[in-house]
This record gives sequence, C-alpha cells and structure tokens, in this order.
Amino acid sequence: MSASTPTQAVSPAWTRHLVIAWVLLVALTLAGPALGSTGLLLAIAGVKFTLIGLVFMELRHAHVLWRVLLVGFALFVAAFCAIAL
Amino acid sequence: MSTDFHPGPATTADEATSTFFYPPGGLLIWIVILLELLTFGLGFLGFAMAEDAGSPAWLAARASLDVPLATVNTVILLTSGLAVALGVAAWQRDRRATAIRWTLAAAGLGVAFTALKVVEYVAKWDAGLGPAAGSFFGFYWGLTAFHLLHVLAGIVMLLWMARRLRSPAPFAHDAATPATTAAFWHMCDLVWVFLFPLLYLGQ
Repeated sequence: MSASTPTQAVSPAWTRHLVIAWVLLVALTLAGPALGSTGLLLAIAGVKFTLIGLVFMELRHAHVLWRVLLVGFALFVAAFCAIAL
Repeated sequence: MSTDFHPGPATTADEATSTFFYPPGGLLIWIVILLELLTFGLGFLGFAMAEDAGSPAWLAARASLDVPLATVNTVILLTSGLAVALGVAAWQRDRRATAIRWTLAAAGLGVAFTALKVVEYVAKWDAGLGPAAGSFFGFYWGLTAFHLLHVLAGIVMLLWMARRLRSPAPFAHDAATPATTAAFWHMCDLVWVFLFPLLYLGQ
C-alpha cells in the first residue's frame, strides 16, 4: 500500500457507498426505457453522471473545482440537449 | 507522485491548492478525462443540433435500435465500474489478491460489453443500417464506435493493472496507480450514461 494512502477512504462504509451508488445507477437505468420524456431521461443521465463522478471516481474527496467541473459538464450537456431535441 | 491521497477538507490556501493538484487518480488522467468529455460533449451537441433531429426518419431510425440489448449493456458497464471501484478500495486496504480479482472481473465485464456491442453492430450492418444510412446512423456509429475504442483501451489498461498488482512492489515509482486506471474506466461510464438515452431512448 502506498505510504501516503490514508485509511479514511477505504473503510467498510466506503464500500457500502459504492454498492448503494451502483444499486441506484442500475435502478435509474432500468427505469429509463419506461420514461418517454427526453428532458426527464437527460436529467436522470445527469444524476447518474454525478453519482459516478462523486462516488465511483471519489471526487467527493477532491477539490471543489473538480466537482464543479464535472457537475457543470453534466448540467450543460443535459440542458443543451433537452432544449435542442 | 502519490495519486491516491485524500487529504480531506482543506483548512488553508496552501492545502486547498494541494488538493486541487491531486485529484483521485492524478492530475494528468483528469486532464485526459476532461479533454475526452469535451470531445464527446461536442458530439452530443452535434447530435442534438442535427438538421433532421426529431424528423420522422430520425425517429424511425432510433426505433430500430435494440433497447433491451443496450439496457443490458449499460448495466454491464455500470457493474464493471463498481468492480473497478471495489478493486481500488481493496488495493488501498492492502488486499492485493482481492484487488486483482475485482480488476479482472471489471475487464471481463468490459469484454462482455464489447461482445454485445459487436452483436448489435453485426445486426445493424446486416440490415443495411451502416454509417451512411442517414444522419442518425452516422452519429450512432461514430459516437458508439469512438466510445467502444475507449472501452477497448480501458480493458487493456485493466489487464495491465492486474498484472502490475501481482508484482512485489507495484506502483512504487509510478505516477499511474490503480486509481488512475479506474478513473479512465469510469470515464467510459460517464460518456455512456449520456449516449444511452440520447441514442436509444427518448422521443
């Protein structure tokens, strides 16, 4: 293990967060085909994008600017495509 | 450069600057990820702004896609993302054998995603729905094939990572760690969660 790796990010609670995030992601994916609205589908895509970024990619431990960049990208793409389509 | 350092909330300007330069996986992979997201983002905007977007021909083309197959593939990709994240967590806990198993599982799921994508491509090609079969299929082939190239690169990186984890002192002098490879793999998830509704779902 890297000497500079603290244990705070690898507790059993962190593993539970990963599994809970995955359950949410799969549930939102399975709900998608039943939804007709493009806007709603893109909003859900934005939520899934943010979940992956914050939980799977551990950005919740990173500098706020990285979180802003990622969530900003999701918001921009979802809003632009929802308006254009 | 340590790339898995999670220093927690910054209390000074220096600490804040430090956390900015050490995102999970390392700064370099995040520059790559942002450039990739920008590239795919332009593709998404081009898709949304296409001249015949929403036309009857466009909607008929979308309706010809295999939604159940794409849904299964989405779940496979998300599950591989979980496997990679669990692999990184195991590596951080010094459980190397577990980390290797999760990493190989993620690579296997990546291969399954690729196999289903090939099945889908063959069906479309045999039906005469290649990249030249209208604007929608131009975007469909271009965006999904570019994404698939990233998945294939990710599989190679995961296999490399599993191999490195077997060595006595993996990543001792490397800028790239399991978190770096994981960040690249999760980028494939990030792109797909927008590709899936844009191409396969909606009205």
